[in-house]
Amino acid sequence: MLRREFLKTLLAIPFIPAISMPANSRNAGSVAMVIDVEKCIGCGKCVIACKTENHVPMELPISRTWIEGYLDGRKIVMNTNENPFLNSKAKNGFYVPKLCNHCANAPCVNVCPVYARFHTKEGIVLVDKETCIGCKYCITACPYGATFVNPEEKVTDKCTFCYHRITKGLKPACVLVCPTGARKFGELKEGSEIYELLKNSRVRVLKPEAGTLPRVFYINLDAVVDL
Amino acid sequence: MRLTEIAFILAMLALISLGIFGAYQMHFQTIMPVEPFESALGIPWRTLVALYVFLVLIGTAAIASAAEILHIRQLEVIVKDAIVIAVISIAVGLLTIAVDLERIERGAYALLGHANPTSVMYWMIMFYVLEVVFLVIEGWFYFRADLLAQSKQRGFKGFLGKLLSLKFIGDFLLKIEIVESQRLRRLGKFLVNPNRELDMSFAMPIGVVALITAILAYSNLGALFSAPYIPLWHDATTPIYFIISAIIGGSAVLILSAVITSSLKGSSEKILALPVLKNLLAFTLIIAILFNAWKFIIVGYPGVNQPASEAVRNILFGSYAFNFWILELTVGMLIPLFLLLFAGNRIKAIFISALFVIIGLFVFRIDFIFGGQVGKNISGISIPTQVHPFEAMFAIGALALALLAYYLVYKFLPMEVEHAS
Repeated sequence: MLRREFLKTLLAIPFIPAISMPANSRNAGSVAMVIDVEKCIGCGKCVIACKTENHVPMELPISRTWIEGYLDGRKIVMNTNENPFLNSKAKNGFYVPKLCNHCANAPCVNVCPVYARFHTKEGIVLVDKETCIGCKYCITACPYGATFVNPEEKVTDKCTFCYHRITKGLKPACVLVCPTGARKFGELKEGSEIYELLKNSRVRVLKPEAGTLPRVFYINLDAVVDL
Repeated sequence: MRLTEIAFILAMLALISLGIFGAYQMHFQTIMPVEPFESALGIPWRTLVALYVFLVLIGTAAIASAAEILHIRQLEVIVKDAIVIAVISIAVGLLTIAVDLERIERGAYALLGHANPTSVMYWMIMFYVLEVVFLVIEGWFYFRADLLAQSKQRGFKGFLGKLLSLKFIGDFLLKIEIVESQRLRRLGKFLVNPNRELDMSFAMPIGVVALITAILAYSNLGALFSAPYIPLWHDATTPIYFIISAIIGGSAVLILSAVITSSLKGSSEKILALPVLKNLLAFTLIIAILFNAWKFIIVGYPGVNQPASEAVRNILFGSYAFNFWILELTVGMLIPLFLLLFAGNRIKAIFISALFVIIGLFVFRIDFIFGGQVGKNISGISIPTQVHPFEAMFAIGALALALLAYYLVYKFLPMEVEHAS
């Protein structure tokens, strides 16, 4: 009898941990960003504005948004306040601004062992910095390399579409400072600027084969380029 | 205490101090200056993750439980060692991965109160924690009779015997008069009287649960890596390969421990386990060689998956080529296999094989972790091969901690074969 009860208790151990499951509205969401690659001139104002707005160390090569310049077939990255494109003597090239794609099917949300990543009702993927344990699985899982460890906060960090701004009706910092209007942000409802852009342009997303359903769309991006 | 023992303890303590210094520096310095990882600085999983995989895939737990369940008589002499090594290696492994967390202080709280059951990593930690729990319980029943015998000794050993056998609780339950419950009295009697047959009847079903948990833990760790995020790791066979790899690591470490402890103690009982461990190691090595060959051919096949074949090319012909061909394959697999197959039951040959296998496994873990993340790097930038000094310091300290813990267990617990028989 003693043995049987003991073994029964033992088998119950795996079910002891109290698992809380916050609501995770995977596909809900109404906002998106559209980036026109032809309009991006690689000035890097978006990178500096983002770092300033979100307190990301300016001098370290970590950034919520960065610009990849494909110059004469070579890939150069701008992710600090120094612009490497200014010294380039390349004759041909284009710039691709990158950031978190706020995937509807976000690998980082799925792999996080502690629910530190979640979708807002707008579909934006946020990091709960009070819960993140810094295991870095999200960094490994992200197909876009869009997340990093913030060395000052010691938690993972990434673009939030400037959630603190957009909930007050303001534009994300990168969108606000872009001198050519290469970045557009807004609601994905019929008749909106974003909606019309997506409806009337040649649009693609990064790494569609990953099946992540990004909310960042690119216009005039050459699909042949390996990104 | 002999002079060599004092020297060993001091050396281990010095190395552990070095590890503590490394861990402290890791958490108070900015991120490691390794190569960039798209928007981030440095690849996310480095030496400590490799060390964690190395430690928790020393699958002595599975060998101990299998020996117990299947009544493999030759292996019964090393069951105690297997349980102790498993507990130590997993505990130090979990410590290693905890140190790798950026916010170490949140780990336990977050996992217990805010866990995401869709995350493979959550289950990995859960399975390994459960495995330690089951192993400790299994080990307690296995050691209990010997601990009760040890409790009659004087001094620290006797105290430890009383403490770990829970005899002091049994004495308490039998002494106090207010306890009228028959159940508690029965429990008290059980705790003070050795009953190996009853102990084994408890240990057996727990061994089954421990074996299942161990298999789940090894394969779940494989699943964590084989999720489709890193091309080199993405492979449905990785979980199975991790089970094989754990048995290789487990049998090699058990060979080392059996030979070393036998020669130090001047006894030969544990040597009886060597022929079975040798065959197990040789068999699993053959499977591992085939697994590796087919994995590289399939994953790296030209024109199938460009990032994966680039990563494979880098391992076979790039910056990891020496590690792969010399340390992993030749030292870690081919030479040991040759010795195991053709050197008969010579103890020295078996010992060298096991040692070489462990070296190869350690290098494999490093190459697997670092090399896998190559595909995510910004093209045109050199491959991250650096092991940061602070991480190396912690790794050395963690290994020293494991060795010291094993030594202390051997020193103060009834590990001898004659007790178990």
